[in-house]
Amino acid sequence: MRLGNPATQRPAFYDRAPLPQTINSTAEGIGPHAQTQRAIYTTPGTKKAVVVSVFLQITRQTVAAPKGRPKAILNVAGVIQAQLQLTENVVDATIAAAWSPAYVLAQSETIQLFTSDTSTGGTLDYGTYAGIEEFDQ
Amino acid sequence: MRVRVRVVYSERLGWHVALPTYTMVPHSWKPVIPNKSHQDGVLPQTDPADPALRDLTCEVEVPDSYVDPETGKLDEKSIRKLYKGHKLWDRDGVVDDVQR
Repeated sequence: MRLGNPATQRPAFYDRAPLPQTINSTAEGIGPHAQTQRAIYTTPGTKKAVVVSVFLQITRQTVAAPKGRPKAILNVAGVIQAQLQLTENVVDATIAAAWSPAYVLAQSETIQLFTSDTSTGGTLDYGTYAGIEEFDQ
Repeated sequence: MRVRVRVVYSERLGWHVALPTYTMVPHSWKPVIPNKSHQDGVLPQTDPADPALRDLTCEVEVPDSYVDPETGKLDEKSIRKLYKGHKLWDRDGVVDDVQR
C-alpha cells in the first residue's frame, strides 16, 4: 500500500511565500459619472492569488435631481460577482455588503472595482475594497 | 507610488487606466471640462468620443515595482518582467501609452 509522504506534499497557499495585497478605492462627494474602473489588481506571472475579503458601500451625501442609478460593481476574472445599486434618494441612504470569499485568481487574472452614477446631480460616498493574498504558483 | 496617467475609454471597461494594477486617487482628474467632466470622472451624458476628453488624466497609486525609483516614472522593463508573456502588458510601448 502506497502512503503519501507528508514531507513531500505541496504546502498550502498560505505557506507559499504569501504576500497580502489590497485594492481600496474610497472617495467622498463623488458627482455623477459614467462607468469608471476605480481599481484593478492583475495577478503577476508565476503567481496565483485568492481574494479573501470584499467590502462595497454607497452612501448618498447630497440628493440627486433627478436621481439615477448609482452602482458599485465587483468583477472577478471578468465575471460580475457583486453589484450594489442605491435606490433611495435621501441624505445618508446607504447600501453596503461585506463578505469573505475565496475567489482564486490564476496567473494574469484580474479583480476589478467599478462605480457609476447616471444621475444629473447630487453626490455620493463610495467605499470599495478587496483583500487579496498573492502566492507562488 | 503615485503617478499621473492617461484615462481612456472602452465599451467593455468604461473609463479606466491602461495598467495591470492600480487604484485611482479621488478628486485627481484633470482637466475639469465644464458640462463634460469633473475631478472624479466624465459626466454620464457625455459622448466618450468627444475630442475634448482626449487628454484626461488622473493620479493612481501603483505598486512600487512599477516605478523607476530614480525618475519616479513608470518603468516599462519592470512591468513587462512582472507580466512576461501577457499580450496586454508584455509589449513595446506599454508605458508610453499611459504615461503623462
